[in-house]
Formats: sequence, structure tokens, C-alpha cells
Amino acid sequence: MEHITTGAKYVLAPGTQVREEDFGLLFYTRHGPRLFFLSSGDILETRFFQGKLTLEQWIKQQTERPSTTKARMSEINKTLVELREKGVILEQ
Amino acid sequence: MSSKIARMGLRAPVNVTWEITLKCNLHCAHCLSDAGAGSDRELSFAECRNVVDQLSALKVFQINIGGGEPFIREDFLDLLDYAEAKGIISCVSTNGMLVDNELARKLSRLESLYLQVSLDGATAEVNDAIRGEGTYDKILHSMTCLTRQGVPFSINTVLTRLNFSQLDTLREMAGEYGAELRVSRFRPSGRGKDSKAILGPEKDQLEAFAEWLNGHDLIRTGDSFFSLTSENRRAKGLDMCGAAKMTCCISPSGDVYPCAFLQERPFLVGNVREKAFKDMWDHSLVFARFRNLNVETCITCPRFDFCRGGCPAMAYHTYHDINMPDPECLINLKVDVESESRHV
Repeated sequence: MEHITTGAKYVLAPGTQVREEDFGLLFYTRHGPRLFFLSSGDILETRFFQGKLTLEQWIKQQTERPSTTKARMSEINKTLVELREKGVILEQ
Repeated sequence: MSSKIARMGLRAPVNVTWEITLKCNLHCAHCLSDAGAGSDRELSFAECRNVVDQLSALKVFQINIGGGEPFIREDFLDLLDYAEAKGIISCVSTNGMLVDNELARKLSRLESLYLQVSLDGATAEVNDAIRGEGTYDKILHSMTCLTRQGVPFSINTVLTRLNFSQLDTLREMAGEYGAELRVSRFRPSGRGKDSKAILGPEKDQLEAFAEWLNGHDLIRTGDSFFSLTSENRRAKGLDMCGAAKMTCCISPSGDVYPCAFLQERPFLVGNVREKAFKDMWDHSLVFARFRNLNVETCITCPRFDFCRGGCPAMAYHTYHDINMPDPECLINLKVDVESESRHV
């Protein structure tokens, strides 16, 4: 896998909840626009937001899904950054 | 929400509207539930806890509790405590009649509670004509108690032809209480069927309201007015009906429907006393019908991406057909929907 700048670890912001859906992850926040979608398929799980692993580390440990492409990772990373900017998740 | 995700369906609702009781101490002219005496079939506390357990297990984020007047139930605070312990946000709609300092103090310790206090006019004359004599003063008193105890709440106003001209004053009143104003849509269900001719907003009022909303970003509407709202408000909420896709309704006796405004026999999904909620969410043919609803006469409309045909409940209560267009969308306000549809 090529190197991608995905060095951040994330946790949920206070008042945010997340659950797994077929398309990926669904976030709910208590204030403002309430719903946010992360189309990550089965690549991410809610456990990712325990803040223990970066996206790159997370994907590397998912040995049963070795085929995550660089483009796919970039796409997910971009949405994570957007979610951080909107206050849905926090950088650890 | 993207229509693709909507059609696919979520694994569980985002929120569930739960009419916890039909008992009510008021007799509002537009009540969607025709609430009053209540029913002896209403769910017991143990059954309610079981519902909360199921919703919590599915990670339903929020329950929107209404009725009837929820605080009439003696076990209601215990139920709110239980939902909070299970991590579910409760949004409670109250008429304010039972809210005093003592109740407000108890509510202030709940962290996962949103309150909506119903007020249908900025003056006693207008509000009391809809909600009953003397209610205006009592509602204001309840809001004072909530403010004193630091309980966040919003004022919920159902838009009617009587209060349309008071929207700005209602907005100012909300500000004075540190509250938000939420404007809901009048729907001709329950007692609204009989009062529509008197209370239903007129066409020019609805058009003017759409303009007014554009100029007031902070006004909340929930999913009530997606058929009227413009591009710049779409990001604030739904741009299509969420029934059976993101939400559904549980009646006081445990019956499950796609929407609180469609608690009619053809839309009965099942009952939580008899079936697991998840089973109904995943396999109900009624829900499937709503997830695949395509209002054909609307597909070529320039606003189709904004509303996907609008509110099926409005269509049903107007034309007895959920496949008909919302009669009160910005386009259909200008045409005779029924005769237009016959030509398609």
C-alpha cells in the first residue's frame, strides 16, 4: 500500500453518536445539522473512533480486507477531515 | 439524505416518534391524534421499557415523544430517566399545562432531553382559539418555569391561517425566553380533518411563509416544510419524506406506522406487543412501499430533487392516495393537482 497522510486519530465529539450502516457510518449530533454520512462501506467500524489507530494503521490491521485502494483511503480520509472541521469528530 | 441511501433503507430509524399516551388535558382544534380520553390498551411501563430496550439495541439515536400530553403519565419521568440511561435522546412535546417549578426542576437534571412547548399564537386571542381558553397564560407560565430552572426548550407553533401574521412576534417571544422557534405544518389528520377549513393556512400564506423562512435561517421546521423550502435551507434537514426511511411512529398501544400523521389501518405495520421492532423495520411491506414511493406526476418537476413529491400524509388526507403529489408544495399551490394528475 502506498503511503497516504492519514496520521490523525479521531474520537467522537461530545454529543455525537455513530452507528454502522450498509453504506458505512452514520453520525448523529445533538446540535445543528444532525446527520452525517461516511460512505466507508465495511472498511471502518465504530471502534475506529476510540482514537487508538490512525486510518492507515486501522486499514493495515484489517487483514481480511487487503484490497483497500489508495483512492478509497483518500476519499475516506477527506470525509474524516470534513467531519472534524464540522465538529462531529475530534482529532485525538 | 441521498435518495440512494433512502431507498436502501437504514438498519434502524434515526428517530422514532412515539405517542406515549392519548390522554390529554386539552382539546386543541388541530390535534393530529384526536387526543383526549386515552385508551385502556396503552403500553404499560414495563412494555415501554421493552420498547426503549429494543430501540437502544438498534442504536436509534432519538425518540420524539408526544401524545396526548406525555406528562399526564405518572411514570413518564421514570421513562425519561430510563431512556437517558440507555443513551437515547428524548425530545418531548408538551402543552405545558403540567409544567410548574417543581417539574421544571426535575427536568433540569436530565441531560438528554429536549422540550418543545406548544404555543399557537403570540396573543391569547389567537392561541386560545386553537388550544383552549386560558391556555396562553398557562403556557407562558410554564416557559417561565423552564427558563428559571435552565431547561432548554423550543416553542413549537403549528402554522395556521390565524397565527401566520404573528410569526415575527412568536420569533421574538422565543428569543425572550432564550428558546428557539420551531414551526410545524398543519396536517389534516385527527381533529385537523375537521378544522382544516378554518385553520389550514391559505395558499398565499404558504407562499409568503416560504419567503419568510428564507429570511430566517434560525427558525426550525423539522421535516415539516421540505415541500416549501428553498435550496439554501436544504442542508438544514430533510429534503424528502423520512417516513419508513429514517423514522416511524409508535402509537400509545404499540401499533407501528410509517408516520404519526398516517395512523390509519392501511398503514399499520404491526404491534410491538406481538413482533420485534427490528423485524417490522426490516420486513414490513408497508415500509417497503414508502421506501420505494415515487410520485410519478412529480418526476419532471424542477423541484423534484427538493422534495421527492412532498408529504405522503398530505396526499393521503387530501386525495386518499399516497402516490399523489403534496397539494401544498410551491408548485402545486398554483395548480389543481387532481385535474393535472388525471391528464398524466
